[in-house]
Amino acid sequence: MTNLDNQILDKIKDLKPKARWKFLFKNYLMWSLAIIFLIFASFACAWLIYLVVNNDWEYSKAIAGNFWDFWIASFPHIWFVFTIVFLLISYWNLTHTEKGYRIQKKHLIFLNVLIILFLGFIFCSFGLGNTIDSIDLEQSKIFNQRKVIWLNPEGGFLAGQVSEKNENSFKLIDFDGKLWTIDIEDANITPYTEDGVKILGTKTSENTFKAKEILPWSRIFLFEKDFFKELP
Amino acid sequence: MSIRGFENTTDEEVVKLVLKDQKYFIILVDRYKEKLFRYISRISNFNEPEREDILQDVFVKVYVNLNSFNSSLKFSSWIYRITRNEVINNFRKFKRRPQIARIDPDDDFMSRIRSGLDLENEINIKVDMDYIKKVLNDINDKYKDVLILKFLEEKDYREISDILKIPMGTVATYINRGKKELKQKIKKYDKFR
Repeated sequence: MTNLDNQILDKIKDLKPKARWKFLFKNYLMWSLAIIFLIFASFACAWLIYLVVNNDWEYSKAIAGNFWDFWIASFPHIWFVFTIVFLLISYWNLTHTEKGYRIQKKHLIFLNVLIILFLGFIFCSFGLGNTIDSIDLEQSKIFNQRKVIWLNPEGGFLAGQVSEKNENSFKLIDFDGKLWTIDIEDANITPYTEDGVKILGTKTSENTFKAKEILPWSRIFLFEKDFFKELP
Repeated sequence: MSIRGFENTTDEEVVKLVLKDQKYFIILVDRYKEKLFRYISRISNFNEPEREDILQDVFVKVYVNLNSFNSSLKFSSWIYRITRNEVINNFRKFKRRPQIARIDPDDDFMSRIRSGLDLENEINIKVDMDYIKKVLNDINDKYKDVLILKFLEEKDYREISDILKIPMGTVATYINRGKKELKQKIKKYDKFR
C-alpha cells in the first residue's frame, strides 16, 4: 500500500483539480432548465385548462353525435401531451441537480404537478389561456380544434367577432375572416364579451345565418379584467 | 510529506488544504486507501492488482474533481460514491459482474448482521460466514448494495443515500426488503442444518 501512495501521487503530480465554476455551471444549468420547463409546462397547462373549461361539453351530441367522438375531436390532446412532456423534462433536470436524488421520485412528480396546475390556473386567470384563440386557422387545426368545430355554418355552428350590432342583426367576422350577417330576431342571447361569440342556428344563404342561441365564446376566468366589468 | 499532526483535522478541512497545495492529498489517501480497498473487494470480484488499479483511478478522480465536493455532504460519502461508480465503470469495461462479497474473518459482520436481523439463534460462525456470503450474493443487487454499506461499511441512512444517490426513504425500503430476504434465506438454511 505504501507503494500505492507513491503511484497515486505520481499520477496526480501533473494534474490540477477542475475549476469549481464548471461544476457549479452544470448544477445551475440543471436548475435553470428545470424551472424553464416547469414554466413551459404551466403555459401548456394554462391552454389546456382554458380549452377544457371552454369546451362545449353541453353541445357534444349536437356537434359530434356522441360524447366520445366529441371528446376525441375537441379535447386538447396536444396541450395535454406538451404538459406531460415538459413536466417530465423538468423532473429529469431536477433529479440531475446536485441533491435532486434526495427527494422521492413520486414526491417530486407530485410537487411538480401541483406547481404546474397552480401556475397554469394563475396564468389562465390572468388571460394567458385565451391567447390560444389568436392563432390563425391553419395552426388551430392542431392547437385549438374548438375554432375549427365552430367554423361549420352548414352544420349550424358559427363563431367569431361581432363587428357591428343593430337591433335585429349583427355583423360577424368568422375565424376564416368571412363576413356574415346574423339574424338575431328570435335568438336567445347570453351576455358576451369582446372575446367573441358562438352561435347555434341555420345557414340561410352564402353569407347570412339565422341564430337560435348566441353565447359568449369563452368563459371569464378569475382575475381577468372583464370579470369585474358589467357584461353588455 | 509527514501526515502526523493532522489527526484532528477533518476531511473537509484537508480538502481545503489540498486545493491550496497538492502535497496534502496524501492525508486523504492515507485515511481512505484501506477502507476503499476493502469496499472494492466487497462489491466486486476483481483480483488484487485490478483492485489496486481501480483504487488508483478513484484517487485520481477524487483529486481532479475535488472542486465538485460539496461540504454539505460528508467527504466519506462522496469518496465512497466515486469508488462505487469506478467499480461499476470497470464492470462495464471488463463485462464482469460482482460475484463474491468478501467478508474478512476479522469483520464484526456476523454480530452486526445478527443483531440487525434479530436472529436469536446462536449459529456456527464459520459455517454461516460461508453461507451468508453465498446468500448475500444471491439477493438482488440493489439490496446487496445497501446491506453491504449498512452492515459492512457501517454507514447511516443519510450516508447510504448520498453514496447511492437515492432518497433516504428508498434506502430504508431496500434495507428492510434486503434484511427480509436475507433473513428468510438464513432461516431456511437453519431449518435444514
